[in-house]
Amino acid sequence: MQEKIFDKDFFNQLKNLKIIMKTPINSAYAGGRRSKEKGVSVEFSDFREYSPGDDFRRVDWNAYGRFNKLYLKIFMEEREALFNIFIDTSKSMHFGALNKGIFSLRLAGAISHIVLNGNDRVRLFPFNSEENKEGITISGRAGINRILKYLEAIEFNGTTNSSRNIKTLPIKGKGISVILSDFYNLEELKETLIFLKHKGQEIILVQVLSQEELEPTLRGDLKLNDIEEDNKMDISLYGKAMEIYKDKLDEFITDIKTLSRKYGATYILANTEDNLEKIIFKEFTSRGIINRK
Amino acid sequence: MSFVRLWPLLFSLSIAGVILLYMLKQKRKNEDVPSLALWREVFRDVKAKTPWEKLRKNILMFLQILILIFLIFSFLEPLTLFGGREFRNLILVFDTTGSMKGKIGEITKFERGREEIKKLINSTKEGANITIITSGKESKVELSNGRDKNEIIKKIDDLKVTDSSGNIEDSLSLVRSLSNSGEGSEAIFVTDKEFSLEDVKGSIYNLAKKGKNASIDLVSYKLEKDNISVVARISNRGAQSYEGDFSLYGDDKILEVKSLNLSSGESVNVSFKVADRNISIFKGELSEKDDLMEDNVYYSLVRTEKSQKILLLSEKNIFMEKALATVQGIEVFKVNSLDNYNEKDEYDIYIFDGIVPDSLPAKGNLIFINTPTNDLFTVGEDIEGGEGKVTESNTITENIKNIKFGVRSFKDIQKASYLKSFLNIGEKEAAFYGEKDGRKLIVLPFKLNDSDIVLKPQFPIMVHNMINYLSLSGILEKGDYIAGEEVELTPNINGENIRIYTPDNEEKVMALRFPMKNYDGTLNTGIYTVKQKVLEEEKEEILAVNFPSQLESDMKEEGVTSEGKEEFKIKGGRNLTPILIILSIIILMIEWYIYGKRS
Repeated sequence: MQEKIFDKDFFNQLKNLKIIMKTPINSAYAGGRRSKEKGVSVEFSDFREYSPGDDFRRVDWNAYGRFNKLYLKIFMEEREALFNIFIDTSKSMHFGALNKGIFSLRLAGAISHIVLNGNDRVRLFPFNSEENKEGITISGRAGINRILKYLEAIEFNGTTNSSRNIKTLPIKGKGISVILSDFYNLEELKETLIFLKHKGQEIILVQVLSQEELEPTLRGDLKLNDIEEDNKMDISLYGKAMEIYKDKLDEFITDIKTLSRKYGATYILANTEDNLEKIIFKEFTSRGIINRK
Repeated sequence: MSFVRLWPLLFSLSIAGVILLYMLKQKRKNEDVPSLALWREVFRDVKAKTPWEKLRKNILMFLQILILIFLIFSFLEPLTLFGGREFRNLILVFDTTGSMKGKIGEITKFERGREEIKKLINSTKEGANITIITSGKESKVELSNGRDKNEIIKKIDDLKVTDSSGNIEDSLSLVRSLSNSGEGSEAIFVTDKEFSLEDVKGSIYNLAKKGKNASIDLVSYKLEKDNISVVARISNRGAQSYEGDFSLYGDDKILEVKSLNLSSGESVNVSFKVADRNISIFKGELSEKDDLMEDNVYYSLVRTEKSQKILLLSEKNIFMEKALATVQGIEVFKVNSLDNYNEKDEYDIYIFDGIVPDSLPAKGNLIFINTPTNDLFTVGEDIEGGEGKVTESNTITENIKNIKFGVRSFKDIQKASYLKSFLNIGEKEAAFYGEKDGRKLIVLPFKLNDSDIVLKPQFPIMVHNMINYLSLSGILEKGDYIAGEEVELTPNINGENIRIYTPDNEEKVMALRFPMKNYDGTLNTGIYTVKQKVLEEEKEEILAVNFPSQLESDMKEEGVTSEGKEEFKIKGGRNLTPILIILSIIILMIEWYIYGKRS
């Protein structure tokens, strides 16, 4: 990409963020995220009475001295989480004065940064109808540079066909799937959600829309050109046409929300005019996806 | 609905232009969108709202077309015909006599009538035959069966009111004859006189109004020994009392001013003594402005001819001599035989009674009484006399129409073509008068002693008339005229054509011919100049034309409307032009508003 997607200030802010997960991690790698299972780690969780067969090393001798009973210290077992970030790279994302595509890449970069800082793994999957990239999987804080490089190389062309493409991706084990798209193809979204749910993913849908789509200022006699499909349509927009559009947009968003609720996904609407901090801090933290250390 | 003109309909082509412009302008703007998914649904919904949406979309075009239509219609000057009239044949009679110059407010009665009639014409349907008649001194058809409204309006605009008097009733016969030729004719009389339409179908637009008007009816003078005594008669012919000054001018110099206070209908005589006997024109003027100004001035010409020299060649005609003694302004030289007659002596009038010199004098007018044949006429046998009476009313028999006299015998005068008879004896034309080669002559074919005519009281009057007839040797018979009166011209046969200059200094050339045609152009009051060039010498005379106040100045009565109906109202159509223009402006403002809102 020609633009510098991330700046230093933004990363400084993200440094202090950590992502929490709602679902337990089921992965072989130990990582920086809490698991529901108690285990060996430095983070204290609880006490319980000793029962035969327990690890002697975890007996709290201070407590024995005080209560004359054997108590075991229970620590949260930390496991490495896997974040799948799906980026819609169809042509429709290459739209808006504040480009939806660039916005998506920045958001993906930001999330990746947070994820890597939390000692978790990130997999990036760009998808459209033409390309079927496997994406890259990165772990470790140093991997951010590779991610940035990878993101910067992404181009937006082709059409969206999320279900066909995502379904072909090798998703193993439980994890978090973040899909960044404008979701103009609702039917495919449904299939995608079913697939990811089946794969045991916690799904986060981020619908990226530009101001031009949310509050269009079109008027008069127009020839609308679908940049993705290369279809054209003559339309005359006068009077209440814009109100009709907004109603249709609301219906469209509501449909996606309904679909998200149905498959237990989290829905976030991102306006490209919003800054990334707002999306990360407000949308992600308020929904318990990330929190401060 | 009728239209004053139709050619602006050509502008309607511009409507097609506006539509074309919009069609060309219809090139749609390209706009990229990420997906048509939502817009397809919008399109379906928007489409469902047509045709109203279509109208909204093209509202500017429709408004522009509407403005164009209104403007084009306003050029057509549409008139509603609600309450208007329809005519097939309309005869408009305009009274153009002096009284129509009287004012109603700021405009004259004639102008008011003309405006109303123009409105009426505009409101009539195209295709009505309109005939225009003016009724002034006489009735005249100005336009016959005009159909073109513009032509009719122009004709009406060109009509002029004169100062002459006239009788609008005289136009009835003309209207009647024109009505017969056109089916469904209706006449409208625009006048301020009251009269009955009799059997003529039509209405009278009576413009008579009560107003303020005083008139000078007469300014007259009498030459006295040392001075001139002038008398003026002023009448208040308006409905209100009149207060003002009467000024007497002598050759444009003010001589005297007298204040007047006249109640409605009152007349007054004012007299003046003017010491200057050399004044040639007296002018009376009323200073106070009133509703009819033309009758506020009166001119009177002073005739100061030197006395006429008359030669009476008669053996013993005492009766003629006595009769001549009553005539003023003459000097009579009596000669009783040819021996005492000197041919070299020049006289203005020669009276040959029974004797004629061998050669007639070269100049001067002549009276022959019982003379033998001479250069001018041939005398036949003596005829037995009978009862004499006046042949017809003419200048010699003025005021003596009833004279009857006996004659013992008279000479048979062979009537030349230039002679007209004025007395018959028995059934035969006996006495003649006429003019030959610019010389006037009168022939009495009997001895005065053989007739009792000399004993009749009318005899001196007849002699007076004779001298009057012969003594006026100028171009004009008299100097004072009433507007519309014809002017009899007696030009010098050796001169060129007569030129008459009106008070507005318009020249009218009267071709020289015999008998001379009368001049009938005294339509406006004022001083007229008559000129004729005779042998390198310019002869100039003036005549004064005054307003016929007794007939045309009355402003005491309000006009009684046509056939007892209420006020004559021309229910002309309403001109919609201003309304259309206002509507166009309103729509233009709406368009601006919409355009501003859209952009």
